[in-house]
Amino acid sequence: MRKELCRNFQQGSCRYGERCRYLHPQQTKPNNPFGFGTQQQQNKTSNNPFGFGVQGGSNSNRPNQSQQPFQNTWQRNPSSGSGASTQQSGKQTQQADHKCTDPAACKRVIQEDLKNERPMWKLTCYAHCKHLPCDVSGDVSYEELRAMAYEESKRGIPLQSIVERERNLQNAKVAEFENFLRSPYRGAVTANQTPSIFPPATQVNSSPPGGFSAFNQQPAFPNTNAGGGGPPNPFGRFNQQPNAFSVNTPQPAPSGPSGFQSQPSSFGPGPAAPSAFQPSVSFKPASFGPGPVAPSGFQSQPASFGPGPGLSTPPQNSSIFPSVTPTPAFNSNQNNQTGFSFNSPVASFTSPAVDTTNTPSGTELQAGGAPVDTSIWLKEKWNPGEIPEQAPPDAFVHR
Amino acid sequence: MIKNMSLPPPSAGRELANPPSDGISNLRFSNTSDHLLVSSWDKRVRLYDVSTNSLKGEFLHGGAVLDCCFHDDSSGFSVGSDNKVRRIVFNVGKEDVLGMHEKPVRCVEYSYAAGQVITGSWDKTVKCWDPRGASGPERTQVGTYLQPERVYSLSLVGNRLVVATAGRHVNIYDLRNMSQPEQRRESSLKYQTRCVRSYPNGTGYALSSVEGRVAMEFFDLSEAAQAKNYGTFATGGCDGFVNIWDGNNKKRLYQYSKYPSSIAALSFSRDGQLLAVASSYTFEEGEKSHEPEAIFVRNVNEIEVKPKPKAYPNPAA
Repeated sequence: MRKELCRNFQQGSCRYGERCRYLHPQQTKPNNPFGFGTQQQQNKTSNNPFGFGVQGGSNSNRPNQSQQPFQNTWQRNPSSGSGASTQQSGKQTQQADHKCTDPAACKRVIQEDLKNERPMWKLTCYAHCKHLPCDVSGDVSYEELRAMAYEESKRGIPLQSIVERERNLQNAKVAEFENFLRSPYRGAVTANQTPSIFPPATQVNSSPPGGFSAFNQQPAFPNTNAGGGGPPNPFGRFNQQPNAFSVNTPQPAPSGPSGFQSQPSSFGPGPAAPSAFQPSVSFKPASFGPGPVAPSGFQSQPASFGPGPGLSTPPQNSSIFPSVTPTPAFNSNQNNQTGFSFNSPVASFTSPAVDTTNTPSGTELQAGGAPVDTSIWLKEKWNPGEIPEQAPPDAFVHR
Repeated sequence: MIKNMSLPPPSAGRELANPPSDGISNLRFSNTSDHLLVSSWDKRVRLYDVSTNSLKGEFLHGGAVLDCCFHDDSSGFSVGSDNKVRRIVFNVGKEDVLGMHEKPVRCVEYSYAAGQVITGSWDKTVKCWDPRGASGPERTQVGTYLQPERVYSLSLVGNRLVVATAGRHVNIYDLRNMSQPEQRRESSLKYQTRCVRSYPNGTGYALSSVEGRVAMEFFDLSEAAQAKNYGTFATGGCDGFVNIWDGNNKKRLYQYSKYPSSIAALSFSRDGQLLAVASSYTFEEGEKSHEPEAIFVRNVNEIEVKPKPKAYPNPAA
């Protein structure tokens, strides 16, 4: 290969791309210390629409080459030779003909898609069959993420927290996809509510202490869940979170009298899933006791939290997620609940994950706490350590 | 936080002076002149005269401006994160608020056929506005139409409106009867929808997704069999490349040299001679340091965009 600079490339484009005899100096992308980044740069291209090819069709078997002018090096099936277009169309028809009759076949399509064609953008929805509803929903667009970041920045949240939140969000979504990939295919699970992911226009709450930043809940959120089956469960996935803490730590919770009502909720069992929430929770180590606490006798109650000390009214939000407020079991003897920003009023309730209800259905997580004297809920102020882990009974919840 | 300053090759086009100081959300050429309207995350809408490379007007809004469009050469519309829908009058520097959504407004289009402004928002509605009503929202809002999800992109052609939302939903409306969509579809792409654009000939639309694909769709499914007249179109991606495609032959015709940053927006001029390229980080990797924003306007050579005659397959090697 001659070492002269390629004149065509200098002027805009060269038809030969990588095969060119002359030199194409490539521009490098600046390294960014921030950003959740792209660990895998696979197929990060904008020039591979399905079925489109380049004239003359190059058949390189390197799917990750994406920056060569005129070079369409991506192939759906790398093992194919020069019959790339027929091979592609063969594969194309196989997927185009896909009917969701056999979950195993669906699974294969999904596995192939998620192996070969994951977009760079992780906060996406996904459907394995075109024209069908999403199998994984709850997508977030670049602009929405950006708007959130700008909003938080305006409220004085430090950059590091913003980046961390974004990273957590991405990790959660990636974990959701992993879980979806691993579980048997059960058919598209359509979300019965949509994520309410950006701060309301009239934001009245100051940012919680400790730089805890994520999405804010819309006060209007309950209205979007009209007519659904069951209580709105925006943190459906989040419910798996207590599992991470409670299952493995059989320490007894502080005891109290019985009489607590149980509020079943549907939690996913996926052992892998809760680990996804570890990062999202871990950035608040101060708020959780050193020893994660879970009562040994589980009832079907999710861990929850009541109003924080100093708050006389229960959070409005309690009507939104009656039983699904996600918290790892915290040691109620711990003296740091004031730092627990969950206890701040509704609109600043934050969740690191975009809500989606695509949990594998039909599974329950047993979580909960020891029985509690319901009169505790009649108090207006609580001393640290007094608030039970369990959600208050419906009778105490303002609706 | 050291950035490599990468200079684009001279062929990238003429770089406009006074670009926005933060991300470019959209840019549009006027239908009647070589004026370019640019909306930005720096909360401003700017009007440029490309032929003289000068800034003709600037409007400051209450939040990031997420979209803009022309009405005529003297006025346009802009929408953004402050949830407002505005008309801006260029020469006078005046602006009116037509109304509001409940959440940031992501898209705006002006329909000459209906004489209405159409907006799409993350509040999951599409609203239509009559710009002639200068006073409050009650007077200007013509209708509000609930979508299945947050609106990500809109496109108009003739009497048709295509709405693309989160969750891969697509609603197609006839503007003459907005009471319900003419068609409800899911995207034929598997991942999140990025953008929808109708064909100028009104037979269908192109959808793009975050996986880097473009799907060509027809309004009338019976026409799909004829599969003609896709025409050529340009796509810009987060890789910094602009590609020109022949939809009919399903081939890439041309690729321009890499731009310094993601391609945030593209617009052809009314005669197709110019292509405005917004090189501006689009947040696909979240919050991070990035190249400064730039707008390039390049000449479009016919050879770059004209469909080629059908290529015969290469003989087997």
